[in-house]
Amino acid sequence: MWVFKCFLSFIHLLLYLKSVIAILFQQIRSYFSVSLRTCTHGQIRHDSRNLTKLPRHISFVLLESDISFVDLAQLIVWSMAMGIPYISVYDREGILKKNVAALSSEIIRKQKEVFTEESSKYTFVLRTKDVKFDCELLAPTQVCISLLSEHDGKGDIVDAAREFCRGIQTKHRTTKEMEPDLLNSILKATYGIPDPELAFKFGDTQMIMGYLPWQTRLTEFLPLRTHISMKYSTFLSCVRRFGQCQQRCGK
Amino acid sequence: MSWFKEDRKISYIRSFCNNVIKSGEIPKHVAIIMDGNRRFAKKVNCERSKGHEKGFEKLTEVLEWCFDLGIPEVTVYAFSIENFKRSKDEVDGLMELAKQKFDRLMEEKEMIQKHGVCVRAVGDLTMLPEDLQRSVAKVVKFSQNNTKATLNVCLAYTSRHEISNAVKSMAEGVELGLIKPSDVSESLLEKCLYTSQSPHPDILIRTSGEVRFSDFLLWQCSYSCLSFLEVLWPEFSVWDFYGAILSFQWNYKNFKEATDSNTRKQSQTELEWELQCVLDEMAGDSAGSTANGNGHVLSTRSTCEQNGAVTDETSPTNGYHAPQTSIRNSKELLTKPRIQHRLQAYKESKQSRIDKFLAHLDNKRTHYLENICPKVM
Repeated sequence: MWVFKCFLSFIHLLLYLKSVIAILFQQIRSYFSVSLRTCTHGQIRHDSRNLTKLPRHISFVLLESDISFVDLAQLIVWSMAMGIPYISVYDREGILKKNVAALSSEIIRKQKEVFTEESSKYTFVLRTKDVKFDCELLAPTQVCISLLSEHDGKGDIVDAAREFCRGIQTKHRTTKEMEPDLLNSILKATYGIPDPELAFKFGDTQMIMGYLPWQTRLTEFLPLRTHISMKYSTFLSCVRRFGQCQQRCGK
Repeated sequence: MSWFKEDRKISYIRSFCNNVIKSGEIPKHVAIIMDGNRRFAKKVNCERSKGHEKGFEKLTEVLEWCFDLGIPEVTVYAFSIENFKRSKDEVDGLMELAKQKFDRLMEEKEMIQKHGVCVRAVGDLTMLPEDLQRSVAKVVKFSQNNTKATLNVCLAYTSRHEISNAVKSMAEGVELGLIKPSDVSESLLEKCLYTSQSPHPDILIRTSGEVRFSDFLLWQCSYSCLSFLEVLWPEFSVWDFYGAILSFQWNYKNFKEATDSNTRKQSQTELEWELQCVLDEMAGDSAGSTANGNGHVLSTRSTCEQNGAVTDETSPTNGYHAPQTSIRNSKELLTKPRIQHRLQAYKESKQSRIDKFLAHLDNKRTHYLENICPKVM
C-alpha cells in the first residue's frame, strides 16, 4: 500500500516540477526579449492617449518579502505620467507607511528622470488613514497616493461599525439608515477616493492577503510575479489589458 | 435534470487522478463564481435560458467531483442583487429555474439524507419572490441538521450588502441593549455574516476569464487561494478543476502561514481592545470615587497613571488599532494581577452579552424559516 502512496506522491511532485520549469522558461524568455520602448514623459503620454480606457485609481499590491522602493517609485511615476489621478500601494505589515520619507524622495527622484524639465509642475500627496486631506478636489496635475496596510481592510470596517453603534447608543443614528452607501461613507482608509479599478498583484502567492475587502468588489486583479525591475512594456500591456475588460455590473 | 445520479461509474483514469490529488492537502471549502452561461449560449447559438440550464447541469457535476475528492463544503454564486437589473424575462426565467431546482431537490429527500447534505441559502431572501422563498426555506429547514457535506447557495447576495447587514444586526443588538458598542469586533462581525456557520473558503474559482470578485464573499476570501480560469462555466472540465486544486496544494504552505498569522493578529488586536476597555472602565470608576471624596487614594492614582499612559496616544473614539505604544504597554500591564483580574471579569461579562445576542440572532433566523413554511413535516 505504501508503495502505491509513494507513487502517487511522486506524480504529485512531477506535476509541481512541471509548473516550476514553465516559470523558469518564462523568466528566460523575458530576459532575452529586448524592449525598444523608451519611457520619456512624452512617450508615456502618447501611449496613454491611445488607450481605450484608463483607470481612475490604480493599485499596487506588494505581497513579496522584499520591497524595492526604486522599482515601486518607477511604477508610481509611470502611472502619474499616464495621467491616473489616484494611486495606492499596499503591503501587509505597513512597511511603506513606516518609510514614507524614503518612498517620497525616491518618487521625486524618479519623477525628475521621467518628466525631466516638467517635473516641478506635477505634484503628489502621500496619504494614510490618519492624514486629513480632501482627495476629492485634486488639481489636474495633482496625484493622490494612498499607503495602505492590512489594518485598512477589515479593521477599518470594524471601526466604522463601532462608530455607527455608538451613534445608535447616543441616538444620533437609527438602524434603518445602515445601507452599503452609508457604510462606504464612514470608512476612513479610502475616504474621498474612488474604488481601485485596476490592481497589480505582485508575488508568487495566489492570495490577496487582506487587501481592502470592501473596496475591491469590481477591481480587476492582474497577477505578476515580481515588481522588481519590471519593464515599461509589461506595465503598458497590463494597462491595455484593463482597457479591454468589460464590466457588465450584473447585467 | 436531477441533483443526484443513481449509479455513477468513475473511469479508472479519473479514480487514479483522484488518488493522486488526495495525496496532497484537500481544501475544506470551495467557493465558485459560475460565470459565462450567457456567453456560452451565444457561442453555441442557443437561447439564454438554455445556457443557464447547462450551467446548472455543470453545477451538479462539480458537486460530484467535490464529493469524490472529499471536499465537505461548496459555496456557489447563483444570483446577485445586481442581477435584478437584467431584463424582466431573464430574471423571471432564472427565478423559475431556481424554484424548479429547489422543488426537485425536495423531491429527492432520501438522497439528501443518504448523503447527509446540509443546504443553506446565503443572502437576503426577502428580496426574492415569495414562492421561491418558500421552496428554498423548505429545503433549508429539512436539511439543517445534516453535517456530512454543505452546499451554500448565494441568492440575492452581494458582499457589501452582507457586511452592512451584519453591521445593522449589531446596531440592533445595541439598540435592544444586548451588547455595547465596545463589544463590536472582527470576530463578532464575522458571526453576524450570513456565512457565520462556515469556515472561510480555501479556494475561490471564477470561470470565464474575468479577474475580479464581483461583490462575492469579499470578506471571507481575503486569504483564499484565487483561481481565475479562462473557460466558460458550462465548458468547465474536471481537468480545470484538478488544476485549481493542485495550485492550492502548491500554495498550501503560504496559505497556512497567512491564515495562521491573521488569526494570531486578530486575537491580539481583540485582547488589546479589551484591555483598553478595562482601563477606560477603571478610569471611570476612579473618577467617580474621587468625586465622592472617599476611596483608595493610592490605587486610584496608579490607575490614572496607567490609564493616562495609554489614552494620551489613543483617543477613545478611534482606538481600534491600538498604536505601538499600547502594544509595548499591554504586555507589561497584563502581568499586573489587579488588571488581570479585571480583564478576566470583563471578558466573562462580554462573553455572556455576546452569547445572548447571538442566541437572539439565531432565533430570528429560525423564526423567519418557521414563518415562511409553517406546516411542513
